[in-house]
Amino acid sequence: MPALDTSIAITGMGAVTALGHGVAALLSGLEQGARPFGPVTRFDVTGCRANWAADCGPLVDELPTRTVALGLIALREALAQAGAPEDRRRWGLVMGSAAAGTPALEAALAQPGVTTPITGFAKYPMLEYLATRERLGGPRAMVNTACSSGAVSMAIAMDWLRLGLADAVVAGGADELTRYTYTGFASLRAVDEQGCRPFDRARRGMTVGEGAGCLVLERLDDARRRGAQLLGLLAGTAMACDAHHLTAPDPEGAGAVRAITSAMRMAGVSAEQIGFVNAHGTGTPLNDAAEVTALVAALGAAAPRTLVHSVKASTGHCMGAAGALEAIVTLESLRRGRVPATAALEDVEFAGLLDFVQGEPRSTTARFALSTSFGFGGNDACLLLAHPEVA
Amino acid sequence: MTQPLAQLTGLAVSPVSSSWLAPDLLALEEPPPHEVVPSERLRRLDPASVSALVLAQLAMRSAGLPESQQVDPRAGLVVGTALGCQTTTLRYAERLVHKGAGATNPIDFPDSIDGAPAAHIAMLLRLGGPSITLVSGAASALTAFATAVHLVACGRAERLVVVVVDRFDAKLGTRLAGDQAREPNDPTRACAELGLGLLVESPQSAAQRGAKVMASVLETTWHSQPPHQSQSEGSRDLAGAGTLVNYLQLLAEAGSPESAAPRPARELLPPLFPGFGLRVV
Repeated sequence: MPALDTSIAITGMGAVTALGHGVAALLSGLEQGARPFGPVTRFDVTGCRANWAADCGPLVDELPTRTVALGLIALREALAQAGAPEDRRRWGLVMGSAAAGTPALEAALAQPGVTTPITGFAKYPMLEYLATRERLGGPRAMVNTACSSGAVSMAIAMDWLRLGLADAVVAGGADELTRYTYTGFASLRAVDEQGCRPFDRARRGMTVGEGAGCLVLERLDDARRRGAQLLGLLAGTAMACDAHHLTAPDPEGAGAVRAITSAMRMAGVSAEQIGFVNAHGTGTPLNDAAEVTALVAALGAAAPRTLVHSVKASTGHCMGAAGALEAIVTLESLRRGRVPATAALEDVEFAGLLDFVQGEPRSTTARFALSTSFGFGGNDACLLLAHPEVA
Repeated sequence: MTQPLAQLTGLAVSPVSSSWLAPDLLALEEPPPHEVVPSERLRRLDPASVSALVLAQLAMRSAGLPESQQVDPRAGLVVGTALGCQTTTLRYAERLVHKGAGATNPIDFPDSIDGAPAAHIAMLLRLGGPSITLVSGAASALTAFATAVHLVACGRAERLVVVVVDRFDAKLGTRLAGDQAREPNDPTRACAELGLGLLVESPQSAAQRGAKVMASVLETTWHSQPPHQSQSEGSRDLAGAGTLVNYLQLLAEAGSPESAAPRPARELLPPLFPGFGLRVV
């Protein structure tokens, strides 16, 4: 077997969140510490413990589902930035989604006596729709590893490129705000009625959000050959499983440590070289505590000097899109030399263990950064991204 | 011979009632779940998770792998499913629709997600490597198998359990499956619940422990020709496990790789997925 090429270039990015359409709106909102959260208006949550979400607002396109519409916005922005060629027969697509389809099921169940097929429940038609509409003829896969789906999609895309299965792969995730997901997390008492406050001593849970993120990945040589703009590198990816509990993270963060250290090993990057971590940082008491434990263990002596922030205090938790969106923020932070602060972080519970960014963005000259994603089922994923000058 | 990307060392197929599946070749009778999986692990689980646990355990036994007490970071899993945990999803959604947002069941919610079967397998078998659930419709089986091969080939794991599973909900399964479903009275409907468990392993790992190799994957090729939704004859299960099983049967009919005469490499190009190729011996 030939040596695997791990130099994977990122040449296009697209995003849509409650902060707005486009990567620029995402970064601008984060730098301002925006919290575009508000009462849920799109469906009835009467009786839930909390009524607070991050909604992207009205969408223009009339598409099969809102998730598809979100995905298409991000996909098109990414393809445009990458200067994608007309012939995309060897361009693949791997998308993550955790919640797509449940609105169709709810609508069907609300019509007693109807026996017609329930269309729109399965997630894969989204993949088909996006790939067909944008003429992506390479490999396709639909991932659902819950909240780590977007990051896992990028790891799968990396493998396709390393094995030569495609010339380029668009990887990402999309999820709309659904009543099913919202009530699910509310029933688990995992939603903070004041909006999520990752790493704050007063944190009480997440804010459910929606959005989509897509990244165009190519082998570095191929990207250079076609003259694509190099935004950065996906230098390492890793996945692990806690094998501990269906919903709760391993309190020791063993799976997360394996994912983080494996990503650094793949990239050949030491903990001292990691400038900052875009943390999963949901704002749930258990997740944040386990994540801090894992980061401290994985980064060792470098941990207290490593900047850590979470975007979910501004975007909400975008479920299957979160990993891709946060990879975009990580790379843009490297490119801009500024790490956004975690909004609403006032009283850091874990002060001294890591260097939490609060209040104002922090400058950085780092060339490498991590983005972590964790999901139900103990799914742990870690991406290591590099500044374009590293290439 | 070209160095294999990965090897197949364990296999379980369920159920055996499918008329097109020759039972003497690859199929294993699915035993009562509690005979394979500890009863406490089965409590309250969705039928898809129960089947997934059984198939994963049978695949491990087929591969001759002992049960591990420690989490093994070099062992992972890939699950392919078209519609996930239908029964629990419907139970949660019906309560949400008919009793309101404040009446949902916090126990049902996490067990209704597509990744629940994978989570239960990882906990049962102590798999600490990559854990991926793929929901690629009727391409789920091939996508799961190929993904496992790629994970091994890229050095992310030494071995992976692959499970392909869908269980029809009695009330709404055919409605959820849409045009993939058979009519409720169709005698071939059992095929829609075909499940598959595989063990995909690195050649080094297989050789080191002296595993019996059922097939070696030399190459995967993959381009997409939509849609992935129609079904070919003999492969009526939702996630496309039948397509993969049919091919593995062809391999089995040709004899084992250890036989004196080396078998020619075969191309897996099922009509359902004209762009999806595996070169296997």
